[in-house]
Amino acid sequence: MAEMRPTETTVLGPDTRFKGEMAFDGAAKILGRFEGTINANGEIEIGPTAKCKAVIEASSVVVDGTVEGNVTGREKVKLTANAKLHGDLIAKTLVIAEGAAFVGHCRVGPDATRANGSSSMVESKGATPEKVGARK
Amino acid sequence: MAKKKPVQRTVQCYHCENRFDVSAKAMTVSCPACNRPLMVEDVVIKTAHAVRKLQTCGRIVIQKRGRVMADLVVGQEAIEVMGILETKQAKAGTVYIRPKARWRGDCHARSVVIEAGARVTEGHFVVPDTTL
Ligand SMILES: [Zn+2]
Repeated sequence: MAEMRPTETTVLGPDTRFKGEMAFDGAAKILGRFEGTINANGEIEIGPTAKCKAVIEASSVVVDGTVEGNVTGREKVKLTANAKLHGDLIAKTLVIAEGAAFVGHCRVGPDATRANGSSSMVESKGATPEKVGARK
Repeated sequence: MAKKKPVQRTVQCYHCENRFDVSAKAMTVSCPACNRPLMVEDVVIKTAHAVRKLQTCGRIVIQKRGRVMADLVVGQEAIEVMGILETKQAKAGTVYIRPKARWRGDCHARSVVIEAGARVTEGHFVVPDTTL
């Protein structure tokens, strides 16, 4: 018989506070506060009520809440209009909706996730101080 | 019969950020606050352009076969990329990076829209940039 892949979504409710490292084989939805590291083979959804200080790596990441930390989507990252991301973003495919807030370095494309860890982005460690626009 | 009032639009100076009205047909004007010349028309790029600065109070549209290499790109209203943009810094009201577009450079904008399939080689994004 073929191996069954988990299809259920693990949900961390809005009242949850979690500190540490989490790994998922399937999908997960964060609605509460999370601090630490998230690794997933499936999709991670950061819900509208979520506040994460986390390094997130998953096949697919949907940010609909607040994330402070680096996000890597091996396949796709989506920032909704409600998203607030302060950190570096690496993805094979990126979709950002109008209204999303994003401060950090960004690398997107088929090669972006492969080169992960070997570029200057690693040095940036999240958002760097905001530069003032060139006005001459 | 009263003469029809010419259609106006509000632009923002990319030097001093002063907002003022210009005729919708105007291509270049002087800013009434800082007296510096401004391009106010929309700029459509269809081929390769290497310049130091590309600035307009309107929109910059880089079409599929268009490519811009510049130190500074300012589209006070918007920058829409369907081709290639390589810059040190881009500033815009809204930045649209369309599915087959390629982007390299820092991005300061009030909002950004990136569509699936776009490539961002490198860049530091500040969205929304409250100084704009
Ligand atoms: Zn001015």
